[in-house]
Amino acid sequence: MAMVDEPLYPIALLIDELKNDDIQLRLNSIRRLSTIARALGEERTRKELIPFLSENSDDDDEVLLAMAEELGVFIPFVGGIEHAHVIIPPLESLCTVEETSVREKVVDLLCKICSQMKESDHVDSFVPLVKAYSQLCQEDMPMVRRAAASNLGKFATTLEPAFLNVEIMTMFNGLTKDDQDSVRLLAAEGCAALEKLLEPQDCVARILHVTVNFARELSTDSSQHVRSALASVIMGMAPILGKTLSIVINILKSSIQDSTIEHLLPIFLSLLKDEFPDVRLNIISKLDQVNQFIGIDLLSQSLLPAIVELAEDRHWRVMLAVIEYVPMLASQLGIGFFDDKLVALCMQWMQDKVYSIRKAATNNLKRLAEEFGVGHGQQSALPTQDDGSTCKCAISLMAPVMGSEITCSKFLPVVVEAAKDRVPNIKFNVAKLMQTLIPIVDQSVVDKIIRQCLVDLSEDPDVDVRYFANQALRSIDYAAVAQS
Amino acid sequence: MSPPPNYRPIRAPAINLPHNSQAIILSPVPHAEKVPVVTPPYQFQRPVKRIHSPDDIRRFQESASFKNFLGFVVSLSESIDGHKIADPCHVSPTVATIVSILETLLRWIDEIPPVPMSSRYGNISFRSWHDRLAEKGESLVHEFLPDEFKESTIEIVPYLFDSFGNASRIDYGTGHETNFAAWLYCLAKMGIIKEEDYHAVVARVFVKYLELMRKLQMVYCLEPAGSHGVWGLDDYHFLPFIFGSSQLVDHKYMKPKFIHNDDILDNFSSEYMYLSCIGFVKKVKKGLFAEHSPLLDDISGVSNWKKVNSGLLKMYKVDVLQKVPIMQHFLFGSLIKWYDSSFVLSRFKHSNLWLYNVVCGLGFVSRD
Amino acid sequence: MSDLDRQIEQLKRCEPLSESEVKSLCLKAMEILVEESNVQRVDAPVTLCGDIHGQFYDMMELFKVGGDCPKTNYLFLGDFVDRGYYSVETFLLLLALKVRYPDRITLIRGNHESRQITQVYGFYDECLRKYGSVNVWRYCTDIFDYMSLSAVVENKIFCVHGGLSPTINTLDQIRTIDRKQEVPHDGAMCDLLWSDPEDIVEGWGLSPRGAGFLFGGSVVTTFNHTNNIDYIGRAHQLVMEGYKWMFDSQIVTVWSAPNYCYRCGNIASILELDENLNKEFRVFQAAQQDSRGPPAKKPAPDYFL
Repeated sequence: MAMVDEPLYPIALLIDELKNDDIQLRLNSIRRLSTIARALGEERTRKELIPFLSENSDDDDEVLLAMAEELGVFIPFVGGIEHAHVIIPPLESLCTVEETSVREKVVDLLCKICSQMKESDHVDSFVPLVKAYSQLCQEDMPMVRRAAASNLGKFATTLEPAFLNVEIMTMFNGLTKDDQDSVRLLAAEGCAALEKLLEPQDCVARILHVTVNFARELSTDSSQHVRSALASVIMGMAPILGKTLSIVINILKSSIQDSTIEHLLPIFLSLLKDEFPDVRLNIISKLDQVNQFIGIDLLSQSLLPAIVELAEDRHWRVMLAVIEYVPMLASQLGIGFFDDKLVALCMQWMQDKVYSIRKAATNNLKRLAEEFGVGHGQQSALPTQDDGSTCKCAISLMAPVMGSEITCSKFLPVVVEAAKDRVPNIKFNVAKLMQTLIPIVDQSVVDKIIRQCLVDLSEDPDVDVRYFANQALRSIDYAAVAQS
Repeated sequence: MSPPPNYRPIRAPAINLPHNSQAIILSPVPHAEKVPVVTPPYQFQRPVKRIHSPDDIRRFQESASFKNFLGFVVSLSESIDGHKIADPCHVSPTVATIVSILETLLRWIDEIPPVPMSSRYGNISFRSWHDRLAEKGESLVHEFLPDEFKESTIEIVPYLFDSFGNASRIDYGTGHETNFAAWLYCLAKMGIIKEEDYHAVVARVFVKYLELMRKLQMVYCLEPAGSHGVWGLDDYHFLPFIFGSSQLVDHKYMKPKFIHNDDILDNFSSEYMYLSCIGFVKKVKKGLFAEHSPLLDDISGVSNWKKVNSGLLKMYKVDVLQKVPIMQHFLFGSLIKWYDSSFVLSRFKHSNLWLYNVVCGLGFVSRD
Repeated sequence: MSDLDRQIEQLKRCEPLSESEVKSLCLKAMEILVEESNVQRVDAPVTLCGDIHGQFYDMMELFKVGGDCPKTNYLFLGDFVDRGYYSVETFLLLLALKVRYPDRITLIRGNHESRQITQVYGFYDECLRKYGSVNVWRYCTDIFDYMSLSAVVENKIFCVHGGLSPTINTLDQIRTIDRKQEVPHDGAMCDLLWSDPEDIVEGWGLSPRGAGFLFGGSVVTTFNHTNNIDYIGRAHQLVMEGYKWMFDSQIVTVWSAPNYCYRCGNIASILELDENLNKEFRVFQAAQQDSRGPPAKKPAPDYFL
């Protein structure tokens, strides 16, 4: 009979529709969940519809995603924020679905619900939610734990600070010790997000201490991916730590500051010596951020030896990263420091086996010269005649910086001498080099020295030597035409 | 200095094959065939290589041996349709013995550790392991051979010896895997393995073989033999993908695209061969899956496992069984016959039906 | 000249040339290669490189370590194609460099530079996929026929892809071979591209590969002595450490494809010889993930439709 069946109709119909083969029909029904909830009223929604949805998390990903989205706006339909916790069970069962996007959506929704709770000041309602989140962090399925770990930072922002200390930190603790390295990795990445929540309170020091503890444990993690992520994260933490420290100094004794550095430095050092090149690379490429809070004296004392060791790393990419870091180091430490410690290194790099290292090293020299001018320090680092093709590369880079006088007095003789080599490669490189020197030196030098040299090369038996010599000669003529 | 041995050429001049994608799409999916059991008097003989050129491949392709062997592989695939590895199945004493033989071979790896220095790529301890197989293989086979077939070892043991890689080059490839399948086929032809055993042959014997091969590959650093690189399905194996895809046909929610989900691989590899193969590939290869295994990546876009299974069977026929560099090492004897008489007859019948009937009528040959 | 320079820059970005560009490049290459000897004379300084097998980004890494051509002179020992993802771009770049700087780079033939082998091991499939027709494959395999069989550096170092042949005792005998054909299934030309040195063999042995032979230390000693060469440089076999000396430094295998088949384990190497033939091995690893281009997404293979 119509009157009796009407209250039952929506759910019965829904059950039927959700059994349909056609995914489109199922999608349509799911998207009408709010309508059904409204028709049922708050109590029946809580007592019948929600439990039904909890039991029906076995469908296509698209349908489940739609279900999660619907549930996200269900708070008014279950009777307001004080009943929000009833939505959690169906969301929890959705968390066990294979498809990542569904699980991500669910965690997202939990955060959303939390923030709604925060707004309406229902602090008590947080408890079941935090409990539910804590459950997720301990779920059997690693995919669920991964979703929980990656969103923990976000979740934490929606909570009252009171929960930060105990609950969130406990969850974090658990996740950093998870079996799956993917979970630990995400927890490591979440560290930085957590730090952003720090407020200048007494709890600051405690959280800092706990985070440093995490960092120490993770730095000895068996998985290189975790350590690599930690390396990035610690660098990300640096500016925040800097900010925090200055606040802490104002409030607490300076001993806290020292001990923090004391704890972090060994972590940096151990990561700098990590067996996996990627971990080492990660630290090195972000070292400039370390400078800000570690202080230059401490840096030169503790980290520099480690960096110098890395300058001779087996993996040429790590070496490359160190080389690229040197100019910044020099600008912070001053050219005197560079002259003392780093010149020898630079010379070593310029003779390295790997072509790309030699190239980067000579580039470095150029940047340093540009910044500090032609000091006697660099001059000693300049290549001498013996260094072969590196020499030529260095000359072509340094000549514009050094200027006409040095180019003529020091470089040109070397180049002209090299033009007499028997190896064709050296000769055509000389031709190319001369072409770059033409705009730097005086026209008289061009006519007297460079032109003659090129003419000789243009008659060389090797076809490539002739080609590049003629190209250089043509450029002299063009320049002459341009000037007249 | 010793003179060089007489060398049998193996490679004919190249032929430009036209590419016909329609032909591939419309070609029939290989179907299962019953394996006819040999009857006495047996003519067991040392098997020899017969294939040297694409012409030989064509002859092989048209023979009953080829079709029946392929049909046997299809039957094996069908026997595990929809089953998890651990699902209960009838395990005959013979099958159980074969499994324990493979376990013995596994134990030998622990007893013959790799030497610390690696010479080229493969570890030379593999040669020691292989020597032990050469020494003890025959007695192992006798553990399950019925008395009437004691004489068959001369023919079937060479297949087994060639199933685990090449000792000289210290490598392994789909050709060696095919030899193992051929060995099982020989056992089927002798009736030692029956149709009711096929499920166990895949779920117990072949799974154990895969375990053995993976350990050999890892411990002795076996080089991928004749790998097609990114243009092949896998450096070492083909059959576990065929059997594995059959397992997943009609699975409630597992789709081909799920191979990209690491959790699925972690949690279900022990139950499904296809997933454990993918997991193994991801473990030993570096870089993006789409770059190092593009074919497997392409296949993950196929809509269902049935299509994957039939596609792989078609591919096995062409990419393994019809390639000279692989099949040049295949062995032929009395069980896997070369150039069947039936082949001769069918050609004869085709070309001259009247004469064929006369010849049959006179009793010179039996009608097929 | 500038067209070729532009093509080289394009290939360095791992972009293949158009079919007509490939055709004209191959025609130009033919004119240069036809003049080369079966035992091509190469001057020092030069850098020897082993198998590449279509690993384009790893070849870029090789150039980063050894220096660009023409700054550095190169001698590639064959097996440019098959197995890898980018055989087309790899081979065309090397060919373009050969046409642009014929005296700065030498390419000799490997066993994979063959019509039959490339139809099985991937180059054929790759050409079909990238061009939709077999023409590029045909042009390239025609060029393979013109490639030299071996090289000798300053008359002191003999370089070949595979190894030695029982029918060859002197370099002059190699010079008499008619090389402009598909790699035969046996004979001297086949052996040079297929043979392997083997520790446990005395004299000659049957090769498990099915072509060429295995040869032992005494064979190498005799050959080197007869031809007054210091040692043999070859490729053809995967080596864990990138290079491997055998027979008391009389023969060295150089392998230049790191992470072969994407498996962890092997590093690659190149052999740098300076103008006085002093040797330096440079080892290198596979290019980092971020410097590799994204693989093109392909439709499901025909078998699965």
